Amino acid sequence: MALIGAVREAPVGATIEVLSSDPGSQSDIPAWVAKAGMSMELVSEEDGYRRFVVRKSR
Amino acid sequence: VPAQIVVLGGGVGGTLAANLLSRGLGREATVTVVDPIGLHVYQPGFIQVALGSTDAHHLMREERSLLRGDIELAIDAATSIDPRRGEVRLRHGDRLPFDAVIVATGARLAPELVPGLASGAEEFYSLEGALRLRERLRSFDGGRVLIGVAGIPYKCPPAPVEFSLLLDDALRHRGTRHRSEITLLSPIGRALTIQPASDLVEPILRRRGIEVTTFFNVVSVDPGCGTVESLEGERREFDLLILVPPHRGQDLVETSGLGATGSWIATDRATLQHPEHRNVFAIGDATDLPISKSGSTAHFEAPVVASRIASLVRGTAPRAMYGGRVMCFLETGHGRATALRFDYDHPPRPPAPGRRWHAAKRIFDRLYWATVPTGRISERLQEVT
Repeated sequence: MALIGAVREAPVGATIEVLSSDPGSQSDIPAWVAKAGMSMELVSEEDGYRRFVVRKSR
Repeated sequence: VPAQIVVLGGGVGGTLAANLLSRGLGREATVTVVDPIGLHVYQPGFIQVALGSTDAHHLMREERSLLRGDIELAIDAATSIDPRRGEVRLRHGDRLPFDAVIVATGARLAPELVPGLASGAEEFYSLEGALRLRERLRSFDGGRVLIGVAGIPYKCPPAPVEFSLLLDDALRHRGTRHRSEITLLSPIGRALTIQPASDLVEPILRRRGIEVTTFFNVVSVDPGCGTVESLEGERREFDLLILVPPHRGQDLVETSGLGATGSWIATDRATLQHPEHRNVFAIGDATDLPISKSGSTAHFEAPVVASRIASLVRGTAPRAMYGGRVMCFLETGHGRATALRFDYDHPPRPPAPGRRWHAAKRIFDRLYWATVPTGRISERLQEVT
């Protein structure tokens, strides 16, 4: 999951946008964000994919 | 004047692409391979070295012996690529002009990115790491074993699962399994990224008594206390910690301004060319493509790159495209294995683990040295698979 790699690299407070067309990732991303105590700023349905914006909150 | 083609890296992708170009273009091109050590190492064998089922010397050949005679081999490291001038600089001072360059420089292990990793954890992603782990396991008399991942992306995504299952086998064989706990610390929400593959291995892990902890991305190790901490805020104790170290692309990519995040080279998923510099191609672990970093990826990418460069040299329209093809074996222990075959559009439908796939993997291990120079998969292996 590329999001985890990006969050690792980012400073606290940064936002990361992920575009995903993979059904597995679409359920994993919110689950991971909740488990890791990050905050989900936006989820939107696009044409053929889903857009997530995640803030590294700790 | 023959075209000048420079291939950086003598791994699976670089070796195969160089041989295909040399054979296909003959006198129309000179092909030079640049490799820092001049040794070709069969990395999938590291896991077997760690578990004591093969010896390190079986995993190495001189790169020269795998290249066609008309290919030049420079034992040197590239320090920068200048796509505008068409020039690669080498550490020992030479400059190699090119009409096309292939960046097949692989991934670098970066244990320094995780505090405590180098002294507190073992790994099987380098030959010395595998040999070290083998010695640790020789004297291991049972305890809590944690197997996890300290960075994404990493090579061979199923390797931690495979290692867990094979370690279970090995500890049973040595009579220490009943005194041991094996836990797989998965960085994602299941055992493997690809759902059908995960669905296949999770029941096997359960049957073998291997616990799976999900969403555990290692951020630090405390070797003194014997604990490991995750990005998700959990802490676990261990007696033996085996972690896939963080991976990075080579500094060369960054210093040449060709990189995406993590020094992976920016790569078009179909043409395998750099988006801005059409004379720069990339193969294998070095790319920033969100697909498996594996030898098979490089194996399937190399003919595409070779064909596109041949078109460039001849002034014809390039047609070859990479469709995301990957194939990997996954050993599940007890002498059984399955196979994952997929591409950008088709997820894998792995067969139930069986002895046939295990036999196929064994044959592949032995025939690798005949496969890597030519790209031909032997008939014997095709029959089995």
